[in-house]
Amino acid sequence: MENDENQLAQKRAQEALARALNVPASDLEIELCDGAVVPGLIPFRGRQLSKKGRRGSYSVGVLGKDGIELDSDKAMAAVAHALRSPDGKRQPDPKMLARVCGFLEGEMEPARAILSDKDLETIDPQQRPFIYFPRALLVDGDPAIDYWVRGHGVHRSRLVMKADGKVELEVMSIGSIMDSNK
Amino acid sequence: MPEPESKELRSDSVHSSQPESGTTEAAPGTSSDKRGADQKSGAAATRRIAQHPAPDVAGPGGGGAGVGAHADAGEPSLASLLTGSVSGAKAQQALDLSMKGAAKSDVAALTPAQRAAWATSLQAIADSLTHDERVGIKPLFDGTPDSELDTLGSFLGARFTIPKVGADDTKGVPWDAGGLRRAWSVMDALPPAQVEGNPKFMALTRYKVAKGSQAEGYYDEDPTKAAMGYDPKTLDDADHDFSDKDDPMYGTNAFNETVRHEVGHAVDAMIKGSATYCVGNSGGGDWKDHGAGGADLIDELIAGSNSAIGKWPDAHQKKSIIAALTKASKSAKSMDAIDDAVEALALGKEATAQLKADPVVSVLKTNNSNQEPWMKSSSPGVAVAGRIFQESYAGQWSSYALEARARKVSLYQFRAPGEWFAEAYAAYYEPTPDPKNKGAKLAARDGATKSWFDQHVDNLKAAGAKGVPAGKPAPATKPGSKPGAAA
Repeated sequence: MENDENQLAQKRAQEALARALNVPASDLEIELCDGAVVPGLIPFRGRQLSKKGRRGSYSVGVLGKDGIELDSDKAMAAVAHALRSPDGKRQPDPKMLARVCGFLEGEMEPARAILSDKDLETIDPQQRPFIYFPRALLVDGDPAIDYWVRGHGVHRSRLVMKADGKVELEVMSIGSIMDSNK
Repeated sequence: MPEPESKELRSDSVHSSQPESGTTEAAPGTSSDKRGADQKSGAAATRRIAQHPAPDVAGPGGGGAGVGAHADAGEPSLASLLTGSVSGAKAQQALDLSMKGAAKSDVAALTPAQRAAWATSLQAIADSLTHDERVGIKPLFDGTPDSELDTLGSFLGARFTIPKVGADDTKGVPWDAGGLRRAWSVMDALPPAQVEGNPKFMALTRYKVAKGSQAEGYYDEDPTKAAMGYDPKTLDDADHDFSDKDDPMYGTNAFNETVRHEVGHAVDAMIKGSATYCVGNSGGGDWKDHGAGGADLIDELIAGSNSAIGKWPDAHQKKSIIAALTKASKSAKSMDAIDDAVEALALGKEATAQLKADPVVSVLKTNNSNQEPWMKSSSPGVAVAGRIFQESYAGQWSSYALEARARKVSLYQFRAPGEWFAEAYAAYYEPTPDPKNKGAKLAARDGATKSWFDQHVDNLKAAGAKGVPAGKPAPATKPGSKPGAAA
């Protein structure tokens, strides 16, 4: 059942992305975000097969009832909105938000949030002491989350959810963080 | 640790023509831009009127008598030449005039519209300019305010014969002045045949990255585009992520290094450097392409390791195992879930444990593109028969000789043959305090490759003209300029 739903979601995303990019659907491979549950939205990453997985051959976005959103900032804002409680009083679960936004960071090539001990095992041992799992915080009064991502290296992301519904993503590479901790 | 390049940089200087210099890079200003002229040269003929008064060509700008001539008394002013519609001929004449002594202040005295028209026209006729003339564009670029981003982009395009300088087609954002000025200084220090003479470098674009991101980029051979992603606030940052601390590239300016790296891809595309030097050649890593993975890859891994799969006693199980691993090798996602795939074979507890520990399974688990094995200082992945087999890009497997990693200039060099070449290129042209020491960064780690670059890259003559109209005689080859339309 779940598999059928995933296949249907993949097909819908593939068709929508093909229209948006004006390429044949057959040239697109769609990956959904594992474990993502975002009401009303399908987060996806598309890869143009003819570009052989090189940087620049990917697109990320969300598909919802209002159509496809390929601007990653807007897609992340939509996800943050969808994961908030309807009355807006409860902020999104940091782990779920990090899972989806880490995935959506893979605009140039695949990326994903580091969410578990198993994910940590894939990180260089000397880098592990700096890495933590997603956590909520306040940045200048705005709700935010910090999370770590692997994708073209390893970096820490800070996603701030602004009062106007927009989000602001700021990243810092692990090399910079390790260097500043010397 | 090497000093970040920004400390030795300068700006606003007029570079003389030194095609082989490779030593200076300028620090930028800042601001924010856009540029997207997509023009091919249609004005080679115009330049030939100026230089070679051959009767068989006519300038598109209606350049009549005196166009390009070195007028003395009664010479028109820059402002008068650049009033109204600016033809290629007028742009050329204005450039000649500026090269005879017009100062940065003269350029600054023009109106923004005049500078814009001049820059656009020069970019359109860039192919027909000589190298020295292109070098002469520097004061025009320097005299243009940071706020005139289209104009800065066009002057840069004219200088380096790049028809498109602007926002990328997808995820694009305009360039900013700081990025353009820094990119100029980096490319200016590279041999002309590799930048302005490179037909595989037709666009320089910028795409959006998150705030705080270290500079990054990619090269696309179709349509021969170098794309840069950067946050203007990190332009001065050194790279501490894509190199080990002991690597020659550790601590170099990330933006500058990335520009050089992407130009390196364009040079590779022009001379097939990675195919020549990296594939099947121990000096270049002895790379081998394994395509999209699949049965051949699995067979090679089994044959090259002490895998138990090749000697698996149950033929039916062996067939199922190989089929499952073959399927997994075609998708990094499946490789991440390889343990699940092994368990799904239902081989029994002992056999399952044995298979999970098998070197072939380990390669698929740890050397797939999701794991980015090339980025790991501690271990670049599981080796089989002295080689690292890895999924360099989604669906693209390659392997290299592990011993070659002892000569790496950066971690990223060992992602794929093309990255190997581009990183070696960036190291070779990393500025050194003494210009005579060109290539020192590469030589420090890999003397043989440095020598190969001396012979096969640094002394390149332009391999082909970009934008010279088909069937037309090409401008005469000059040191540092493009040659005729070679096959």
